Amino acid sequence: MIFNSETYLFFLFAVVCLYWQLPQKGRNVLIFLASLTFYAFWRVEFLGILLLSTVTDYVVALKIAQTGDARRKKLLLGISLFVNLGLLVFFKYLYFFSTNIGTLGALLGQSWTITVPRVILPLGISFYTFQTISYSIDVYRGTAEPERDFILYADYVLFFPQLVAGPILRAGEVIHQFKRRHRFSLDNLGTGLRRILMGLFLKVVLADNIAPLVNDGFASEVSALSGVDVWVLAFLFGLQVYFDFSAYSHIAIGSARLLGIILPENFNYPYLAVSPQDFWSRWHISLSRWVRDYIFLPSSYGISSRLKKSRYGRIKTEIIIYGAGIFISMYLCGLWHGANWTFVIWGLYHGTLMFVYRLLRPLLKKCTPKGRRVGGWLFTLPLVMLGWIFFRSSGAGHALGLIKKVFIPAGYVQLGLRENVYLISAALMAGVVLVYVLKTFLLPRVKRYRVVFLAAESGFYSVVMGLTFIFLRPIEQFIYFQF
Amino acid sequence: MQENKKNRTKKPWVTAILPLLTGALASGLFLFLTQAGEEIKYDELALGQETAPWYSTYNGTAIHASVLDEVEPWIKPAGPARDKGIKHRVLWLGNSQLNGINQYEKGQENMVYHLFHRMRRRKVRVLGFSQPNAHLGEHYVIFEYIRSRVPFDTLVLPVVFDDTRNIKLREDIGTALRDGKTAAALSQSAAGKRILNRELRKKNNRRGDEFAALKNTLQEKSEAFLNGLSEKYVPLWSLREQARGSFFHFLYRFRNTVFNITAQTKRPVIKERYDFNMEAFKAILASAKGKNIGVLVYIAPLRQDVEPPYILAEYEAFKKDIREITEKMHAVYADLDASVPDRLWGSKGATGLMGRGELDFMHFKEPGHVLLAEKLERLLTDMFNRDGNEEEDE
Repeated sequence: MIFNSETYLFFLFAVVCLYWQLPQKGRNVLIFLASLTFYAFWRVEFLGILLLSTVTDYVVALKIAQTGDARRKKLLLGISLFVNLGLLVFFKYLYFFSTNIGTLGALLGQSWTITVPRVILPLGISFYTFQTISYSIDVYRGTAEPERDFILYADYVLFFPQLVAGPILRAGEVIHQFKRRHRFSLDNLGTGLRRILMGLFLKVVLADNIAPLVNDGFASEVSALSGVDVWVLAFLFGLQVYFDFSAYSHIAIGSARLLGIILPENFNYPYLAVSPQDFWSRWHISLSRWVRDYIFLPSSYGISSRLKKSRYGRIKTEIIIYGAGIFISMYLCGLWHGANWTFVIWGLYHGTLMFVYRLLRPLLKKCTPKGRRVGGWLFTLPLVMLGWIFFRSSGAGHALGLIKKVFIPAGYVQLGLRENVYLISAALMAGVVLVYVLKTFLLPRVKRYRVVFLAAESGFYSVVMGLTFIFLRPIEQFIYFQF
Repeated sequence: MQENKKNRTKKPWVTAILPLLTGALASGLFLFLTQAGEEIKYDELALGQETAPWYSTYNGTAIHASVLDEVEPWIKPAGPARDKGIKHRVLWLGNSQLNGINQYEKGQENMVYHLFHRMRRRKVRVLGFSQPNAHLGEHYVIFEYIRSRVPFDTLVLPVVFDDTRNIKLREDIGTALRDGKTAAALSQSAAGKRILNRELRKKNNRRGDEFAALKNTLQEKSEAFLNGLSEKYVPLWSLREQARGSFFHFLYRFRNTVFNITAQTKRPVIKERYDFNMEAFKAILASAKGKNIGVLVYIAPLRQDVEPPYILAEYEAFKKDIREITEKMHAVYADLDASVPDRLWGSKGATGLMGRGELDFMHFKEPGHVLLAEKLERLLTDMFNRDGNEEEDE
């Protein structure tokens, strides 16, 4: 089911009304059934895959906890990884790998053609497989207890607000919430509705109306675009994907809140980041945490245990460890986003930014804190936005053709996009900064004057609601649904 | 102070829910008051307030179309393109200047109607196709689409400098690209290949049809059902499309106000788009020549009483380019930019949020339509006579 639809709003309304009438056990069963229904509205036939992943890790985790044999634990964890990653590889990467093998073969003068079926990517597979993998790993590491109640465990994996596009949850974040009986509160209702409304506004009013401009821009011939146009498209798509993805998270968090469940935040003003590291602590927070805990730290630890010296040549071992860890992590992070070299390049691009920042950190410490923040933002924002060119382009060649434009000074004179595109891009970027400033500095002061604050809030929501109402129609799928 | 605090916590609905309720009521009321009532056709807003679009019919069939679906009746056995005894069939492509009558009064007709009936006496069938702000790229696609369906032997093509700033294909014309014959014809020229590649890139850049996986799902069915219910029982639901149009129109006028853009603001050439339009123009003439379709190209009328919203040197260069290309391709060229007297030009509503009416540089009153039809009648008659003499000589 897609969020920006009447169907979802009716569905959510029905679930919330029913939820608060039921006893605790009934609520958990309702969430389980509602989540299956939510997914089945997309494709019933793919429920089996979802349940396969869910049941596999439920059983694996219980068996891991039951056995004391380290080898057996490893084997069980291997089963979980095999099933989940196997599903991911089959549905998401098989065609990509087969075409690349064919291309490699052609380069070597061989014919390595592998015929594989092109299958529909099950909605949310990249998210729920990562969630179930993290559960098994946490139980394996002993940092989490396995949940014996299948319904509770299934609620954690299948919870419909976050099922298809995150936030990627840890068992410890939500299972205890499903166990606790929540009391209905108007505060949760109000907060939940606000988050859903903001999410729908960001999606149907902003992201969906930016999309045609971005689509047109990326469909233009590269020769027709200038360096300015590439920057504008980078910023515009950066804003589109931010609004789109944060919208999903808002709706997910808001929907959960209506049921008294608190999900972790997934975004924290990422375009105000003052360094590449800071960006990843603010963007898709649940994924970057996952990558840190299950790829970066283990791989760095694995590498460090093999490097005995403190220095190799002139390079410190910690730099080597960090570099290896970050490039492995960001390579896989990029690949997770999609079966295309553009995503891999995007991931490695961010890995490079973080690695270079790490190398420059000793020098940056000599700047004042304010200088580091302002300078950091002025450097980080354009570099992050430029990276979106790889993410959005249809192929590596297209992306590189666009990126090259940025480095041609003469190409900055000509403008190839419609005039409105530049205006909209500038206005939106200014809007993002303005919202942050208002929320951080003005809002706390206005809140002291209750009547004024209520009037201002009412005015704000009348605009947001009116625009959301007139723009609500499923014309553009959420970008992260394709992952 | 403590009592106030108590009162505050006793009414959490005030902070939690009241702003949302108030917001919902206020926005609903605003929408209802501003949108309920007269239906606004936003695709015609480009014409300006004082200009009305008009599409004529003959014997119940449109002789002037504005969407591709309206072309289909032309090719029916009883359609206007199949009438027996017709010596020539003329296709007239254009923008809203063809269909827009400034200061419209009931009973008035546009230039397509007038030319149709003038030429009908000479056993020549004239059919028009026009869309607001149509550019030469779109004309090229429409030309190939209609040519593969309707047997015409003459093309009348006005060229408008203003429209060389556009390159985007509207949805309706984008569907013509999916027609095999049209795509095959377009692929014969560089401009056509560029159009096809651009649309293909757009399709590829969307990473396939993102909603393909939603087709024939429960979601699709439930959405259709709920939408139907909402249309029926929620008064505001059916006003949403109009409200969207109003919102974009407001943004457009807001932009014009902020940047002081009026009808007379100079619009510079956008080189890349201009070049694309010229390539499309050449492609139309080449394709017509290859199919023995005679072409009459004319520079569209422009009001002469005030300086146009163009950089004059660029406008003159444009006319020179058009003339050179036309003559090279052995088509007929006519400069009609001064053919409609100043008194016949009209005005339109302000393009900003405030301000009075502005000059309309594109649309004129009905007598102007009559005048232009007369001029085109003479040009076409000369063209047919010349071609007839050439055939006799052969």
